[in-house]
Formats: sequence, C-alpha cells, structure tokens
Amino acid sequence: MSDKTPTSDIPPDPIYAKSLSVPIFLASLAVLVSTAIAIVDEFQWRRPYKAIQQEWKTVYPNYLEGLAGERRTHVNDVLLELDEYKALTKAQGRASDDSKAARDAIQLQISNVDSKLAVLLEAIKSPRSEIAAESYKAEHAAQVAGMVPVTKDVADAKGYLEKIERINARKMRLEWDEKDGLLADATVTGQTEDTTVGVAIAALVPLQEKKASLQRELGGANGPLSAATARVNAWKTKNLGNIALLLDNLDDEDLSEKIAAKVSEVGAAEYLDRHTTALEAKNLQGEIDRVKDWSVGDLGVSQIHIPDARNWVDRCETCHLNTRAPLAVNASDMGGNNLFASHPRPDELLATHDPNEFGCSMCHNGNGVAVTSAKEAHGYNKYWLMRMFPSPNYETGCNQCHVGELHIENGERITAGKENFRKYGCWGCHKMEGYDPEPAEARLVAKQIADLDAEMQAKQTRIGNLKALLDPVFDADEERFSEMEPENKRQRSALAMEIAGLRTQKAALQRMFHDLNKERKRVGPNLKDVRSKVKRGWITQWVQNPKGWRPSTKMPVFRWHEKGEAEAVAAFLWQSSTDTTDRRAYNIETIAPGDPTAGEAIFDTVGCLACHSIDRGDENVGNDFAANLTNLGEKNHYDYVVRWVENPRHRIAPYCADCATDITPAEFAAGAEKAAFTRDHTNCPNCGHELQWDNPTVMPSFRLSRKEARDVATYLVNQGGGTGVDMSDPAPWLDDKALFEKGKRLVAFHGCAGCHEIAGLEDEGRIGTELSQWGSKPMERLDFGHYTSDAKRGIEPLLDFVAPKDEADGNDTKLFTDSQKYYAGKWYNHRGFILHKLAKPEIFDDAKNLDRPARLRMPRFDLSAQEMIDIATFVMGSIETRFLPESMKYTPDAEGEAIRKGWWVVRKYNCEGCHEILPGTVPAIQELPHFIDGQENAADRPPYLVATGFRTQPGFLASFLKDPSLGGGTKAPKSLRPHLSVRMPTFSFTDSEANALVQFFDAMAKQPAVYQPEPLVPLTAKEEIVAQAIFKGANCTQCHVVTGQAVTEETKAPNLTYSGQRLRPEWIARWLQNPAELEPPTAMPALFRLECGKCKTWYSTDEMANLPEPDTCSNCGEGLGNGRWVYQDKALKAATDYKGDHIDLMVRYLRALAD
Amino acid sequence: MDFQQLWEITTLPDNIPIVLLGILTPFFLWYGFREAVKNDRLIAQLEADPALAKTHHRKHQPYHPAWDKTVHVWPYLLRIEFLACLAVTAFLILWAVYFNAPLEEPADPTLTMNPAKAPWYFLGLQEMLVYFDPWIAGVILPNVIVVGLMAIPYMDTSPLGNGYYTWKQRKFAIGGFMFGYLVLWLALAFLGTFVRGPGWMIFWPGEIWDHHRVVHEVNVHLHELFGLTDTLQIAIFGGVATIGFLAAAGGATDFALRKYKPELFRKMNIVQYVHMVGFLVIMAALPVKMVLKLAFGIKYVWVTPWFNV
Repeated sequence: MSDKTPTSDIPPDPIYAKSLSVPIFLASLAVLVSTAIAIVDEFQWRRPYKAIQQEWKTVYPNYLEGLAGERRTHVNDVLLELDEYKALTKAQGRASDDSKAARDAIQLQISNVDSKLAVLLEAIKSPRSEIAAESYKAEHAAQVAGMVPVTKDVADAKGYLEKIERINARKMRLEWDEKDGLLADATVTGQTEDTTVGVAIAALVPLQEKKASLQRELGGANGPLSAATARVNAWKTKNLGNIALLLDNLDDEDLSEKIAAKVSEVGAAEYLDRHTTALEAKNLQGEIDRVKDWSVGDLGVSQIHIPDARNWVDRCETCHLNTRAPLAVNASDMGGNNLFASHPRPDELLATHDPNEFGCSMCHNGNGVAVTSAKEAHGYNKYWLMRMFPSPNYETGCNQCHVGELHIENGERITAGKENFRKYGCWGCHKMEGYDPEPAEARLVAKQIADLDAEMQAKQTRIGNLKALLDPVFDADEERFSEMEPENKRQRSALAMEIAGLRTQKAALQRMFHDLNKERKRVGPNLKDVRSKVKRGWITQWVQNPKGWRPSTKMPVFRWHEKGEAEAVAAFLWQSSTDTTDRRAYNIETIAPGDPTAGEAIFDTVGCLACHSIDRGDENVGNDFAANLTNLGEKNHYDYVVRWVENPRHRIAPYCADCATDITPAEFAAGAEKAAFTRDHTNCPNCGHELQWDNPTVMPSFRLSRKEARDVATYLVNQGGGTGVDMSDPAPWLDDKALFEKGKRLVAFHGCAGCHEIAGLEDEGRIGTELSQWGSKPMERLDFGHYTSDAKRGIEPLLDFVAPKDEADGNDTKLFTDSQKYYAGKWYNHRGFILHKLAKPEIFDDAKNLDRPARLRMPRFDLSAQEMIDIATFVMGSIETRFLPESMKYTPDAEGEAIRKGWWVVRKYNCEGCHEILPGTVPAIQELPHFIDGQENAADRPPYLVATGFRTQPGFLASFLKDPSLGGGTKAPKSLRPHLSVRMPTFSFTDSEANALVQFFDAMAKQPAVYQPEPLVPLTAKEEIVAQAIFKGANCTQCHVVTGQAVTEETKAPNLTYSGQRLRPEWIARWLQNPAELEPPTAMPALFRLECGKCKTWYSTDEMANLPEPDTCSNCGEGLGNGRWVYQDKALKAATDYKGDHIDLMVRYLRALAD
Repeated sequence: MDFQQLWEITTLPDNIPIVLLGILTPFFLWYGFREAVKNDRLIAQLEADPALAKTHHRKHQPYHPAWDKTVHVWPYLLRIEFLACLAVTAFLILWAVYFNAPLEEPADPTLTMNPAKAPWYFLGLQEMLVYFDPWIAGVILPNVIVVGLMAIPYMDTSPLGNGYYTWKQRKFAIGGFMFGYLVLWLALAFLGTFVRGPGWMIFWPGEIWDHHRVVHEVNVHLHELFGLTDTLQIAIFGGVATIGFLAAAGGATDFALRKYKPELFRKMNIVQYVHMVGFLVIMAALPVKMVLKLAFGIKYVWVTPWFNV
C-alpha cells in the first residue's frame, strides 16, 4: 500500500489519519459515569430515607439524653402530687380493687359456665334432635288415632315413647375444663360428669339462667369502676393544664421557682407538655440504647404488610421512625422536625387500631409503598388516587369504617363534620349513608305490608276454593248433610290460623310504619302553617335573604336571579299553605294575651334555652341548636305561638301519605263516618289509611298549661322591633294567583321540600347529588367549570375569602390562603372542590352563560371556615370500601350497636343541651346565667347522666322517656324531680327511639342489655320500724319528697316513691355508701359508716380513702370486707339495736316505698 | 397566550422521544443535505472531467485524487459505530435513571381519559382516524405503509446513492420518501401530540386544553352536496368519485413521470411501475382527504352500507 504513504503534497486521508481515541475514551467515560450514577441513584438518591434515618439517630437519642438529664417527671407523678387527683385515683383504685376480686370471681364463673355450656350443648344436640323426631312420630300416631293425648295407651305411639325414654336414659359423660383463675397460668382442671341424656337436657336451662344471672352480677360489679374512671379522666381533661396546682404541691422550692419562671415564659399547658414524660428513667435509658445499638444501614426499609387487605404494604415508618415511640415526642423536641414526632394520640387511636393490623395509609391515605421521596410517599403524585389527607382533614379516614356512626370517639373533627351535616340539613338535598333513613325504611315496611296483604288475600281465596270444592253430601243414615270432609276442614282452619298470624305480623308492621313516619323529622318548619303562623309583611324578605333578618339562622341564602322570584316563592308558599280562615273548623280559638313577665321567667327556667337562644341586650343567651327567638314578634302571630308552645307536635291538619295531601275538616265531615276534626280520628276519611297528625319537628312539649303557654307566647311576641323591616306591608302579591305556578317551579327547583314540608311537594325527591361514597368519585366527574385549569395549576380565586360567620366573630382566617399549604396550592381535588363549593356555592357557574334551570342550585350557608373543613372531612371520607377486608371494618357488637344507634337519637333531640352524657362536656343549659356554677339555681340543673345506665332500671327509664310526667300530663307536669324549675319535656318518642336511648345508656355504662333486679325481700314489721327510724332520723324528706308531700324551698332531690321501680338496688346500696363517688356534683351526704367486723371501729368514706392499708382496719388489721354498713348517728337507738346491714335495710325499705 | 399547556405536554416523560425527534430530525436533515451538496459538487466535477472520472479513485467526499478508493469496514467503520454505541448506552442509562416509567392511575372501565392518546409513535395513525373509517385508517393504510416500504427495494433498483449522500442523483426517491415520512408520518404525529386536545379538538400552542370547549362543525358527505338520497345511488356515486379520483391521479402521475422522468419509466418493468404509481397515488390521497375534511368539512367521499371512504 505504497500510495497510502503520505507525501508532502498529498494531505493525509482523514479516515486513516483521524484518531478516535479521544472521543471513544470520552464516550467510555460517559458510560462509566452513567453506570456509576445509576448505582448511586439506586442506593442513595432513591433512598432518601437513609439520610433521614441518620438524622434521626442523632436527634432522637440526643433528645432522650436531654430528657434523662433534665428533671423530667412522669406525668402521673406530677399529678399524684395533687391531693385532689390522688383522692380520685385512689377512689378509682379502690373501686377497681374493691370490685376486682368480685369481678374476677364472676368472670371466672362465667367462663366456667360457658365452658360447660358449650360441652353440654354439643353433647345434647344429637339426642335432642333424635327425641324430637321420635316425639313427632308419637304425636303423629296420636293424631291418626283421632287426636288423642300422646300417652303409652296409644298403641302406635307406645314404641316411640319408649324409645324416647331409652334415649333419655342413655348414659353420657360430659367432659369440660374449669379454670381456677383468669390468668394464662391458671390451672385447668378437667371436669367430668356422668349423667344421662334426660338429665343433661334438663340441666340446660338452669345453666343458661345461671349465666345470665352471673352477667347481671358482673354489670353491677362494673358500675362503680366505670364511674370512678370516668371521673378521673374528666378531672384530667379539665385540670391537666392547671400548673398552679402543680407548683403549690412541689416540695423543692428552687425548682418551684425555676418552673414558675419557665411557666410564665411558655405558658402552663406547654410547660406540662414538655416537662413531663411518659417514660421512667430506666426505660428512657433502654430506649437510648436501642436507638444507639443500631449500626449504620441496619434500619433499612421498615414495612407493615397486611395480607388480608390485598397485600397492603406501608413503609411509612421507614422515615417516621418515632410514630410508635414509647413516649410522646413533639416536633419541637426534634428540632422542629415534624417527621420524627410520635403519633399524637397513641392511647386513643393506635391502641384500638394497631398499626400492625391496619397499617398507616389505610386511615391516612397516601402511597405507603413509596419511599423514594416524601412527595411520592404521601401520594402527591398526579396519578395517585389516594392522596394523603392534609392535616386539617386528618380524620377523613375514620369514616371508611365508622360510616354509620354520628359520634366517633376521639374523632372530634369528623364528629363535628357529621353533626354539621345533620344540623344544617345537608341531607335534605343530598342523600348520605346513615342520614334520614326513615322514609326509605318506611317504604320498605309499606312494601312488606302490601306483600302480607297479597299473601292473606291468596290464602283467603284458597279457603274459598276449598269451601267450593265440598259438595254437601246427604248422609242417608244420619238424615242430614254430612260433616264436611275432615281433611278439607283441617286445611281451611289451618289457613285461617295462618291468616290470623299474618294479621298479627301486619299489625306489628303497621306500628313500625307509624313509628317511622313519626320519627321522620325535617330541618325546617312545616310550611303548610305559613298562613296561620307568620305575618304577611315578613315572608317575602325572609325568602329573599333569611340571614338579613336573622343572621344566625340555619336557613341558607338562595340565589334569586330575577326580580320578583322571591315574591313568587312567597306567594306560592302563602297560597299553598293551609287556609284556616274558618277557624272554628280547624279548632283554632282566639287566645287572650298573657303576662310577659311570668312568661319570661318560665322561658328562662323551664329549659327553652337549652336549644333556643335569645338576645339580651348585646349578649346572646342560650344554645344554637334551634332558632334564635329574638324579634319573634315581628314574624309570628300570637295565637300560633301559644299553640306551638303548648304542643308543637300538633298539626293544624293531618297529612295522609296515600292521598298525598292534608285532610281538611270538610273532608272529615264528608267522610263515611262524618268524624269530627280531632286527633282521635287517626284514619283518613277518604282512603282509610293512617293519618299523620304529628308535625315533623323535634321540638318537644313542656306540658305547659294554657296559661303558661300564653305567658311564654306573650313574652316572645313582645320581642322585636329591632330589625327595622316593615312587617305591616300588606304584600298584595301573596294573593296573586298568577304567581302560584312560577313560585312552585322555583320551590321545586331549589329543593325547599328537602327541609320543609310543603303542600303538593311532600314526596319530592332530593335535588342534590348523592354524597354516599362521594370521596371515591373520579375527579373527572367533578365539574370545576371554568376553574378547571386554574384548579389544576393552583391559581386560587378566593384567596382573600373570609367566612362571614368568622368575620362576625372577629376571626379573619383566610381559608384558602391557608389551604395553599396543602397539595402545593393545587385544588383540583375533592378537598378543593368541596371547600370552594361550601364557601361560594355558585362558584363553578362563574363565567357561564346558562339558563336558570341549568344553574347550580346549592344555596349559601355562611358556615365558618372550621365548619367547612369539618364537613369536607366527613364528606371526603365517605368512600367506597369494597376492598377493605371485613375483619378490618368496625362491626359493633350489641353494645357498640346500641351506642351507635343511641347517638343518632341523642343528637337528634339535643339531649346534651341539658344533660352531661359524656364526662367533661358542658351542656348548654349549664352556661345560662341561671345555672352557671355558684348561682342560686345551680342545684336546679337537669340530672347528670354519665353512667346513668348503672343507676336506672331500663323499664322505668323507657316509660319515663315516653312520658316524663309519669301520667301527670299538663296538670301535674313534674314527676320525679318536682323541685326543679327546669323540666324534662315530652318528646313523644316512639318505642324504638325510647328503646334505643335505654340501650344506649345501658351500653354507655357497660351494663348488660337485659336487666332483672334481684327479688325484693320484704321487710319484717320490726325492720320496718328500724328503717322508718333511720329514714326519719336522717331527715331524708328534708331534701327528698315522697308522692303526696309538698315541695318546699328545701327540696333538692328526686321523689323517693319511685325508687323501687326506678333505681337498681345495687346502685342504691353504692349510692348510700358514698354518693360523691357516683355523682361528683351531688349534695347528698354520706350517711353511713363502715363498721369493722372485728373491733367495731367506724370508718367514714373519707377515712377509708386514707387508710394506710386499703380496706384493712387500721385498728385491728381485719379486712374491712367483712364489716357492715351502719347508720352514722350512734344516738339513734332503734338503729344501733339492729344488727343487720343498715344500707341493705334501707335499700329494701326504699324499694318497698311505692307500695 | 398561555404556554403552560404546551410546556406540560413537552415535559411529559411520555413525550421525550417525540421532542427529541423534533430536534434531531431537522439536524440530520441539514447534515444529510450538507453532505449531499458536497458530493453533488464532486459528481459534477467528475462528470465534467472524464479523465479524472476514469482514475481509480474515491468518487465521493472526503475526496483526494491520491486517496484509496475504498476503506476497510474494520476498523474504520466499526470504530465509529462502537463510538455511537457507547454514546447511546450512556444516554439510555441516564434516561432510565432520571425518568421513571410514566405510569398513570389504574384504568377505570367506567371512565375513559380525555383525550385518549396512543403512544407518540402511533399518533400519526390515530390522526388518520379523523379522516377515515377505522378499518381504513387502522388496517388498510398501515398495511399499505408496511407493504410499500417492503416493496421499495423491488421497485427502486438504482444503485445510485449507495454508501454516500446525494440529492441530485436521487431527487425523486428522496423527495417521495421525505413527503411520506416528514409530512405524512412525523407531522401527523406532532399534530396528534401537541395540537389535539380534549374531544380530539384542535388546540394550538398558546391555548389551554379546556374540557368545556364546544365547537360548531358541520360535516357533510360529498354526495350530500349533490343532493343524493338513494343508498345505491350514493354508493355508486362515491365509488365513481373515489375510483375516478384515483384513476385520474394515477393518470396524471403517469403523465408527469413520462414527461419529466422518462428514464425512470424506461428502466422499470410494468409491474414495478404500476406498483410505484399505485403507492404514490395512495400516499397523495391522504393529504387530499385531510384538506377535504379540514377545509371543506367533507366527511366521507364514498358512503356505502358496509364501508365509508
């Protein structure tokens, strides 16, 4: 290749001459570097948690060491310094100790009985069915033999009966285990019992009864402990922040001063929070060692795997390393790093939702598998459908399982959301699981009734056919028509029996139907009363803008697009409402005015303000459960208010669901029966179906007399004049017939009938979107209108929005400025949708050119920012949970179910307006000027109902709930506590509501569902004398009354006549021993002393609490369990002579008092 | 104008290839033409100088009379390929490291995404669905494309341009290919990626994909312009129109070829020639149909109960 050799004039051929070494070297280097990058990426960059874990390994032990160094105290140690708390926990401990042995013993017995019961049931299963079969054969033989009694005299039956005897005599051996204790190390003894089948079968019922009675005993034994625990917790909630107490009780003065200085700097709650720990010193060291022992890289990915839930995997704890730390760790402890904070409510939430079983993202959402970045792990990825809920909505996840519950324990925000959803009547337009179930249930029952009717009809036809089949046959011998053929007759009688049975079923269903209709309530008033209730000049401006006239009203503001729409709606409502011009026909008499001063007194004290509020000067008193009654006189007619106050449930005219209209007096008169227009006539004169005479309101009757009702009404209608609206406006359009149809269309369009009963629209469906499982609705189905791309990009149109309600309260929280923190300000998500919708319901119509019918209808509720967030929390949490395993969902037991149902009733009727049901809550009524602490009337508060299930007998409670006057009516409206000015109103509960409440209270007090008091041993004549002496000596009737005795100034306590039927004997005994233990606010003194069984030393309850050794006589060392309770007054001769237990005696005396 | 939408589409990991294509295609086009122009100059020089052309030397760039006419594949070609291989490997590794698989949410059978787009390389085909029945756009045309590509070596037997860039020697072949690839394939894919939005409506860069947009569009079939109503008449009319158009286009192509490229006609046998004309006509028919639809709102030319064209 000579010519390849370059010569001086030929340039070198670049293909040969150009070296590629440098580019190839560089490219190889690039491959090397990219491979290295791949490796680093795999092990470091995609594992950001490694750096986090390293940080944690420094920060956390440092914090723990700091704790160990500082003087840190276990929070209980601090609390235990406080006498008050000491006494409470001691009482709790005592209640627990006192009852522990008893409870354990009962529990043990129950478990042993259970064990035997299980064996017995299994053993007799087969013989019992054998006996049943043989016995049927014997019965059949007797039947064939002409319906003779089944005895051995019947030839064919004899063999079977003998067989039964043989079976009964068959020997069998029962083998079961009995334990001698409840702990794991209890010795198990095998029990055997040789018996026969007959004996074994006979033993079943007594054994079951024994179990029931043991459970009853257990309930009794549990009572005081739960009461005591509730008190400790209530005290803690109330006083934990009360640092002053802590300081007073610290003995180290230097420290005291230091703490005081610190406290003034950071505040008491903060101080307690920071300077008490959940760990004692040695455990603290253990925790430090645990963290430090981990060598680098050992931590790795920590994951929770739940095979049952579609192999759910959560790796959250890879970074959130302190989630389950044994002590509370705050972000501030970790240098402000929230990542290492511990779960804020380990005891309340994690204890019941063990992360090993539930994982994290099951509740919080997010992408539990991802560990590559916080963004991915929290699910803040465009395509991840389950983004983690932002902090204001943390409780959203609760609703997945607790969907049917109105009250979720430890879920304050979601409970508030659910309550707001109920209170503001969101369910009037939006169907939502759990809300307003009555109409659907009623439809179901109606269907069942129709089915029964059809079945009865079919059977009736069959009887007719059978009858027709039988030709009368002339019997020549007897010279008469023969008896009808027996088989035919038997069939017919059997059918007749079946029909009778079905009739009974039908009657039960009809009762249910009636009750369901009665239980159905609406949020707003019945608008059929408009004409008789409100003034002409008032209604139009109210429809136009309800919040203008009464800013606190729950009625939302509707958007009227054209002039005259409000007038049309008002005209429709006016014209469609019941025309009561013929007042006589409607039994409406003219009522003379009463005395407003007396009315005010009644209004303030009888209990109205537990639900309603009223403005007094600049101050608003009362509760916001029901309407603010200020300015009522501008709005309502006096007559109507009197009748309403008297009994709000009484309708002007009854409604017939079948005719779908109100029935007028004329129709009554024209009916077949020509019945009078009164509530006694419960059936429709047109179609015969049951009428609804009850108003769908939750307002109860206070059993006021006509005079009292007049006084209250006079007081109320004299309120007003403050708004400046001209109520005397004759509003001529109200009678304009031309507006009727227009108004009706508008009313139907805006869904007014969701909250109000309106003539002609009673069965109107809901106009809103169904919200059940709304949280699972695909984003594409939510219409953000022209804000879609703004929402996706995080452009916020309502940046400066401040809820008017907040503004009025002087709170300028900018909801959407605040929301910019979450989801990077993007609001194309469920949260963004619902919050914007609540803040400005028409927002997604913005910049749209739509006809009226296509416009959004949701009215403006003017909620506060917090209310909106809570409602969002609830509604977003309503999601599809198909894939959650059943085992993980909350399936309440009987007790849980009773509590679940009960809350719906409790919240529906606002029981908590008057009563404390959960420890620590303050009923609205207690905040009224009359009832606040220290006021004269403080003792007049409605009773305390925490753990009341342990106190009252269910039967009595049910009848009391149904009629709190216990038969007294308006004449004797007070029964149990005649001394109270406030009184329990008549809610006209249906049976199922009353039962729900009774079971609720039983369940809240952890009492078994079935209660039977132990039989009463009558007092002997001698005992009677002793008991009377004590009753008199203790001057019981100074505070208490018995029926027939007049109420005096001194009366402070319930009527004792009812004790026998009302109270549980075991409660009375406990109560007499130590009233303050069961009900802290009580005025009842402890009247009895415990006497040591050996040395006869007396101990008062206080002394008992301070014994050096609990429950042991400090004098002789004898256990006080063997002592007896004696009346405190040694001077009372009759008592000191009586050698039995005085409390036991008094319990029997009180129980017998009614007779 | 709002270019965030365009930015969102451009930065979508799914679209990295097509964005790269948008950059690389012009580059290689430019590069190829630059080289082609150099070679074409050399060819002109050689043609002008028969003596030089006869020497045993390289006939394309880089060129020098003294250089070897050919060079060995190993190592002179393979080392370049190896270099490219290394560069691509490094690039692919980095791509794989920095971009995860662009997975989206689980499919929901009750909810179709809007716009529902095929992967970028299929968007040309998807765009064709706007103009044709699925069986044409989805079955016939892709097959014609594949078969046509496979048929090229049998129709085009000219050795010119093998192993070097040239434009002058292969104007017709390169022009035809560029029309098919750049206009009919890439341009449609770009249209599908960047311009088609919700409802498969056209949103130009600068417009936001608004799901609420409503457009008014009247589409008619060709026969409706002539007021035909009878099915048979319509079918016959459409058939005549379509086949007539194809025949006319074929005739015109034939005429043009004979007039302007007589040597092509001479070198090919009748089978090769007919196929080439057929493929050219089908290729040219697509833009015609697009223009009919986009500019005149004509949906179908040939409507029968069984198929529409």
